[in-house]
Amino acid sequence: MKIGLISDTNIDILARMIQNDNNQYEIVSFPFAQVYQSLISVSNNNIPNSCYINSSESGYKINKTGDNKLLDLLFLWTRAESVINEFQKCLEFKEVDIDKILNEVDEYSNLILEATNSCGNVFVMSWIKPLYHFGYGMSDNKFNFGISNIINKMNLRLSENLSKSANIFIIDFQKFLYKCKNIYNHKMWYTTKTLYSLELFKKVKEDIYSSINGLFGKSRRLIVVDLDNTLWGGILGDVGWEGIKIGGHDYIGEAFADFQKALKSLTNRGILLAICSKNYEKNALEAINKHPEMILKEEDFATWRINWNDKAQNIIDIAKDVNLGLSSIVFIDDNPAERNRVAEALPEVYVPEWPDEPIYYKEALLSLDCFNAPSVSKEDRKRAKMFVQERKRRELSKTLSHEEWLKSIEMEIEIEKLNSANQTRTAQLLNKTNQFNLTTRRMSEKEFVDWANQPQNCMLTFRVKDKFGDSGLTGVISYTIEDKKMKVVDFVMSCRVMGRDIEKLMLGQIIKIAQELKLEKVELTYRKTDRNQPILDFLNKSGLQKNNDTYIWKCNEDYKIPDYFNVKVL
Amino acid sequence: MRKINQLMEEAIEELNNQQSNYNKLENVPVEKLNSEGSKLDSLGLLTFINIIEEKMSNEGIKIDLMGILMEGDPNGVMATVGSFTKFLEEKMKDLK
Repeated sequence: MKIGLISDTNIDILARMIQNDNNQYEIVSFPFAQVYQSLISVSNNNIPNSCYINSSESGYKINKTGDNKLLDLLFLWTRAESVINEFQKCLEFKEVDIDKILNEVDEYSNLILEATNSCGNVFVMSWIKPLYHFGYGMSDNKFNFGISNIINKMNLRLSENLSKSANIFIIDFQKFLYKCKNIYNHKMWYTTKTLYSLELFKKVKEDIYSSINGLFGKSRRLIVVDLDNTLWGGILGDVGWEGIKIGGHDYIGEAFADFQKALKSLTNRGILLAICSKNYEKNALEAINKHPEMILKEEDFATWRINWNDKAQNIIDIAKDVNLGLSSIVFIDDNPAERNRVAEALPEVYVPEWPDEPIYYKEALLSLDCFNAPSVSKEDRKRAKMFVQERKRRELSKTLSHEEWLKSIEMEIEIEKLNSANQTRTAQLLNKTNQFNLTTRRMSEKEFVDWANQPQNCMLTFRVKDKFGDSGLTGVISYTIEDKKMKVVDFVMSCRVMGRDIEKLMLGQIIKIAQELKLEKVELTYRKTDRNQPILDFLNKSGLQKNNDTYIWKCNEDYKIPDYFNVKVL
Repeated sequence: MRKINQLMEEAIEELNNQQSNYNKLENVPVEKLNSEGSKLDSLGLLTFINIIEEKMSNEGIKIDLMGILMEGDPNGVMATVGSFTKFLEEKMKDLK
């Protein structure tokens, strides 16, 4: 991955930190204090000779180019006063022209937008007023006058302008003010033009990694929490549900209530909750349902394992229940021994260090950067509810045969071509799905929209509903036509709808399209990853003819689609 | 006050986060810093001096190492890890 760094100050330390931390990245450091020139050269698809390219293989090299895309990621970190001239006057307490400032912001934004065409994604650091600058004091937020007011306005304008591109993300500088004791290093500034502290560079580096993880669908999606002294104060087995501490007029109880509110808030952005606790299930559910101050209720949890078994095994079972990989899980427990056990047994599960005192729980939770994601779709917002519906489906399935159950849930499938309304969710699904994924092709939203717009290519989305609720857009299939052949490029289905034969419908549907287009065959080539065994299992049972990793259906035969779907093609 | 050697160890560890695998420093007396054959380039050296200064400052010792470096380090106190450690230890004694 090639990452370009453009800044008005010397951020070479950041470049070195990233490079030496992770050999996957090649860092292109543009000369500092030449922001406009650097952006123009990126727009022109050119890395100037003055760039340092830090490659893990051989140290510094000059001017290496030649890939299709100039940069996979561009990180742009500037101070407002150095790229917006009129704003510098503002810091010198001169009278300023707000329109002129905003025009300069517009020009700067246009340059970034142009540079975006040569980059996979762009991260732009938001602007802050220099932290030591008192500004106009009590008037500093006065409309169109104070420095704070003007910088806020500039950030809003920048954000509005850059929203035209789906692959530009504005990184909020403010969050580092909370994370770092020292932002600046004045001695390094006067000696090397390195303005920021090592501490800040470290935090920014971590933030870049977390954002890259988010872009590639590696953000965490499930929080597994313990109960006693994690979700509430006290030991349920000792004090009974009436005696546990939540809310009330007790500061510890208030802290647990706040922690629960914070957990609940995360469900609104698509993070699932599950319980893993050493307790008697009946007693724990009684506490959850009966305690008047409980914020989280039974329906807020996608699943649980409340028993006396090993927590590592319980977490494996929870992951199976919700069809997520262990790398999607965060485990929160007040007990360091349990945390160590899970961290050692299941290294893919993220087990954050947890504060000793409940008053810090909310802060610890909401400052986790592992949920970083490029977007939050409507489906995400409904996801927690969907998993509760899924739990109910599972309960019904226990009483019927599989086929009877599939008929009983009254599935409705909507098939639609990729369009501006569904492309964000489609990008998410393509980038997040690991298990039922033919090729695990990862691309930014812009990249795959560009791909789908080519005349020989097509991308179809599948939305699944049943009598329990709407599972949303949970399937994507894309293909390209070559001669008389349909080549399936992506075949992706969310784990949320696995076990409902949706994959048979998806395959049948494209075979039908291939027949209508009078093609000879449909070809699917499986690309193995360490996680996509489920799609291979399906392909092997699908009736397609196998030739090494390629599966073929000849179009002179019909593919049988099960009859329990009500299909609508939009 | 912690021992200078421990402080040096921490500073080298911190600096090595930015050094390539080929140029990691070792906390051994002969490791060159501001002398020919050093694994540090100018930014690396300044960063290292800055880290040491900050660590000394956290221990309550204000010392302008960057100033010595800017004057060309006439006595070669920053030539190697060994000479630098010795210099810092002597400074500590003087300040006591």
